[in-house]
Parts: sequence; structure tokens; C-alpha cells
Amino acid sequence: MTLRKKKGGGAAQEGSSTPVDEPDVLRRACAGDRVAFRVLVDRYRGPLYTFVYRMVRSAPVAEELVQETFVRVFRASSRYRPTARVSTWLFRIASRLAMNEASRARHTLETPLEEAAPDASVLRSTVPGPAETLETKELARSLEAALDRLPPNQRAAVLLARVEELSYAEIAQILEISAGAVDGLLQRARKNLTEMLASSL
Amino acid sequence: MRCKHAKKALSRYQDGELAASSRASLEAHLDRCHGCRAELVRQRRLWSLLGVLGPIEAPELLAGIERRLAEPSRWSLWIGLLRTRGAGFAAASALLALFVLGGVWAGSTLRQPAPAREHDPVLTELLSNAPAGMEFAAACGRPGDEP
Repeated sequence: MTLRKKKGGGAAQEGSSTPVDEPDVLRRACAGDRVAFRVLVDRYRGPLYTFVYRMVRSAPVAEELVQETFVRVFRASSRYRPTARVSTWLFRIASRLAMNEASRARHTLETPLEEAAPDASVLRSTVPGPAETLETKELARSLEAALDRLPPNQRAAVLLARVEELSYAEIAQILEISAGAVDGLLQRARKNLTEMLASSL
Repeated sequence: MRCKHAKKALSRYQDGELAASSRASLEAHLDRCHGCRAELVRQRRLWSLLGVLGPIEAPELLAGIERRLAEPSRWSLWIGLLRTRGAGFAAASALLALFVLGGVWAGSTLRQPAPAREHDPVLTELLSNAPAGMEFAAACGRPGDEP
């Protein structure tokens, strides 16, 4: 079982060619099964890193927070109840850590829209192949800078809805809010982004 | 449906989260409202642009996770102490906590500042016109007393 995708494909299904019983893999990984441990990390490091990086916009911090997410899940695995997916649990911990970090960074550094630019390595992997034109790079920069200016909870909702393509119910479980609150966050985020990116729309 | 409600529903409509009945009434509104249709086009364009932000290749994390897992957590240190030292450790911790809390409480109580004397404009006015000798009473905070 993997994260349910509304439109199929995408980051959360990275490395998931065969269906895996997530709770069983988690149980085996925590019992010291190195293969199961590797399966779980390999399956989710991509989507978690993508999400956390876009929340905190720092590669070392994102790496640190994703590692911390896995450590917390493994340490608390005895408390896991299969009412939610393992992936939901992972994203819940990652989003808590990332939102805390993003809020902290927001207080110490206000990034102006025109100055914010991601690492070149991140842009290369973000916009691969022939589509990697100067214009697309500029657009990606503007989008990331606009996302940075959103409050962390709106940013998380947008990333989970648009990049991870999760349903409102799944986002609600991850952010521990109601589906109605997810709707509110996405409405406000769309309004803010539309205003910030008015010239590109 | 009015524009106010239509604009609120656009987000759910785009995300496929709108109930069938609401969807039909929103689509009927969009058919006749140019403003809401334009807003939908803008929002669709925004969502399409955000598609540029694809997955990012994650670094190798396994070694770091294993290294962190090998370190004892803060909680496991406390639990370990409780297990090995048992009741004695728990009693000592409770006593220490009580002592610290008591000290904080006593400190805050003893260091209470004296209530500031209120400045009464009416009294000030009266005293400025008062005969000599009344100033002493005012300085002592007993304006009604005889000098």
C-alpha cells in the first residue's frame, strides 16, 4: 500500500513497483530487518525530502529533518496503529518538523520575492531535460519565492495538494486539521499566490 | 449560486473535492458569470505553473538514520535510569523537583514589589493650594492627617 494518488504517478510512488504491506514492513524494519528498513527509507525518502526541502529551502536542514522523521517513526513504531497509513504518519511527523523550522526561519529571515533563489542542483532536478530553459528556471524561482512567502501551513497544504496530489482527507490527517480547514488553507493560499504571481498568470 | 459562494467553491472544484450537486450549480453559475470564469482560468493557470515544481532527488539518508538510531534518545536515558535505580531515583527526582519549585515560589513571593502609590490628580490639585505643613502628610501618603 502506498500513498493514494489522485492522478497517478509522482514523487510518492518512487521505488514502489510492487505493492508492499506497509505496517508489516515497518514492524520488520523495527525488529532489525535491514532489508525492510532499506525498503521503507528508499520508498519515502524522495517524497519526504521534496516536501521538506520546499518547506525549509535548505538542503542540509531538509536532510536533517527527513532523517529525524525516520528516526522518530522507528523509535515510536510500537505505538503505530494501522488506522492510518505509514506514509501518512511519516508525512505528519515531517510536516510538524518542517512547519516548526519554517516558522522559526520566517521570524528570523524575510526573503524578498526577487531575491529568493534555490540551489542550482535543486533546480536541475526540479526541471529536468529539454524543458530546462532559462524561462522555466526563472518561473521556478518565482514560484518557489512566492511559496516561501506563504504562511507555513498554507505552504504545506499547497505542496501536499499540488506536488503530492493528495486528497483533502489525506492532507487533513497529515496536518491534523479538518477537511474544511484544508479547504480554507488552500483557498487562502491560492488567493495569495494569485496576487503574488499576477504578472505570470 | 452567487459570486461570493462560487469563488469559495472554485478551489474545491479544481481539486475534484466538490459534491456533485454543488458542482452542477457552480458550473451553471460559471456559464453565465464572466468574472468567476476568469478567476477559474487564473487559478487553473496557477495550479498548472506549480507543476514545474517536480520531485527533487533526495540524498542518501540511510547511513545517517542508522547512526542516529544507534544513539540513545533523551527518553531512553531517563527510562534507563528509572529501570536501574528504580524507586530511589524516582523519589530523589520528585524531591528535587519539589525543592526547586518551592524555591521558585518562595523567591517570587518574597520579591513582590510594594504596590505603587497611585497618583491622584484631584489630590495633587488640592495639595498645590494647601497651606504650608500639608506637604508632609502628602509625602507620607496620608493626606487626611493633621500635620
